[in-house]
Amino acid sequence: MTTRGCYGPAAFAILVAFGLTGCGGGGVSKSKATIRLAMVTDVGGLGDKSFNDSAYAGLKRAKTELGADIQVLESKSAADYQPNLSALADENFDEIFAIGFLMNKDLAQVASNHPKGHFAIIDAVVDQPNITSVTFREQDGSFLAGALAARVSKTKTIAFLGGLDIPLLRKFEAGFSAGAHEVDPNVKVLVKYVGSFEDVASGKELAQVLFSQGADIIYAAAGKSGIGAIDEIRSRPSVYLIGVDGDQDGLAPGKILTSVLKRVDVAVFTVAKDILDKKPPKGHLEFGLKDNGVGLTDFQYTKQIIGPKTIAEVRKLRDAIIAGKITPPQTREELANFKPVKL
Amino acid sequence: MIRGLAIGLALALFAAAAMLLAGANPLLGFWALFRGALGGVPQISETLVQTTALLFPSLAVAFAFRAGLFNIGAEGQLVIGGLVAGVIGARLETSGLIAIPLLLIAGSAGGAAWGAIAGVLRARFGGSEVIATLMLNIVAALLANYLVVGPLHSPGVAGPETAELPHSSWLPALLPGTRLTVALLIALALAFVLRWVFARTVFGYELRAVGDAPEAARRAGINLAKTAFVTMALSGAMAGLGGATIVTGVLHRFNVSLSPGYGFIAIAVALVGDLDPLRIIIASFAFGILQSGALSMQALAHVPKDVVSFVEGLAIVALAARRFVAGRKQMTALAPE
Repeated sequence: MTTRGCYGPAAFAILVAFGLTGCGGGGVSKSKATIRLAMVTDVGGLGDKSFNDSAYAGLKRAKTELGADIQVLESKSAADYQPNLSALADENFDEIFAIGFLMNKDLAQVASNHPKGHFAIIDAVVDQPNITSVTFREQDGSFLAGALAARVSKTKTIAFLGGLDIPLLRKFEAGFSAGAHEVDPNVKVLVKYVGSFEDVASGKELAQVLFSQGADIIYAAAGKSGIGAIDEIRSRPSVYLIGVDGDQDGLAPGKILTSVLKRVDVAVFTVAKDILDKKPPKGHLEFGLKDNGVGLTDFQYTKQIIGPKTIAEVRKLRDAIIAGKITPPQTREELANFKPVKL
Repeated sequence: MIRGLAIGLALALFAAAAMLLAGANPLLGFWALFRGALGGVPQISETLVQTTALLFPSLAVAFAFRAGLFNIGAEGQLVIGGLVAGVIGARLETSGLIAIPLLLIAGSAGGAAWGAIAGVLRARFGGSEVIATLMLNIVAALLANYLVVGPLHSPGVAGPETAELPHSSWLPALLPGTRLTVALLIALALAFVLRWVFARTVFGYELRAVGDAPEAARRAGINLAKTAFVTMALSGAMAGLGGATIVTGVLHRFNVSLSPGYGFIAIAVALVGDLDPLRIIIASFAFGILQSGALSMQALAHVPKDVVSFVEGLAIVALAARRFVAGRKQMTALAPE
């Protein structure tokens, strides 16, 4: 008992020492920051190498280029979304980003409780005066990927591997199929969904299934499940994959034809800059090929495989979409009615 | 008491070290923790929301522990309870007077069924409830994900969750404008009922007898297998009820990530509370402060959320170790020469 007694003061002393010498990082600086920005991650959190990290990259860019004060709150569970958003709203940030469509109901609630605050949500449309909804034209990037895959495929069978069969993912699917049929109406497009964004093993298994059905290129829009598909192509000759969201080309150099980029960072930075420039906030912002919100990578490892002719053709299609000559479908219904456009 | 303080201080030290490693200022961190958890009515009510969420599974763990069973599966039982409540609740359009009790009972039943699986394995085949409950956590999470995304998917819902429950099925709020609901009162009542069961009923006595000295209890005519089964089912019911209150009171829908690991933190809470229901209330409040303060530690002192998980993990290891060491000493003392 007596030995235990002396831990107390000692502990306190050490604690104070820590506090005084502490790195001094952080702190509530109400300094000369030009704007104050905050974001709430979904349960994926920082370090997901995808969505949340990309949004954070946008915030960090706003910090270095615009002098913004930035703040990130990670969510441990779905029950954290609302308190996280509320806590930031109480701190009067200029803009609070909700990263992910899962937060739409919580954000709607918090935004109506904080009519003076301003918010943005990624991948969902919430129709409220103080919320900017940010969505992407994933179908446009996927369209280019589909055209590319149709040209490179030897078996004339390509495949789409999605995470969850939800409207957001069907934009990828519809755009991909339409792009393939734009350049070659006879290409077969197989479609499979893993049923999860986190199931690496099933991703690998479904990739095997798709290859056994004759596909030689898979477009994997399946989060971490797609990593399983990437693993599968490593050991198979003459099959390829197309990555998604971030630049995945380097994960299996020469085997990943390209990645369909979805630049959440560009979107976050753009919204931040609009606020700094005192532009009136928009209700709905849609990012596409034109503003580099979506696009393909520059084929660093695969130029030989794709060939200059196809690269030029994809570039032409990109220009046609930007010019409005082609409107890639974003639902299965629109896909059924999609007619290849003669350029 | 002094031992409790020593453990608390040691954990605070570890927390400080963790914050330093994460590049944050520990003093600011502790201040933010305090302010975020107890700084005002909204903060206190959020802390009580966390307290409630922890209290149910903690009582579940303590209940099983009293009977000598280590229920590591409160997390899975909580998820299943929430799943049942959410799936039924999203499809149920009826008066709250019927819907709310029905959903809470359904959630408890779901948790009980999940706990009973481990109970049967233990009672029938002598299988370790530790391993069974641990593995069933994973099964519960995957099953819930599969069901809400697959066969039980609600149209118009994008994520791994059910549709929203109708307003009439929401638990009534204790404080308007906060997420604090009558779930807190239910949890507190449950704690007092358990205390009474342990202290004043034959069943409670048998339970403790089985936990303290199984061989003696068996010779005294207590059916060990039956007690194990009933205990696991009831323990599961408590955790399941907790899941159902999160669905009906906090989220108003079932989401696969409805719990940040309440069922695991509950093990630490139950041990800190010395398996005594009333002391577990206090321990839940203490861990509730950690849970809800973690948010403002992130916001004000830039302490990553993982630091809090780290400290909670340490608490579990420290307390579990203490208990096992104490248990072994007892065994050696009792062992024949």
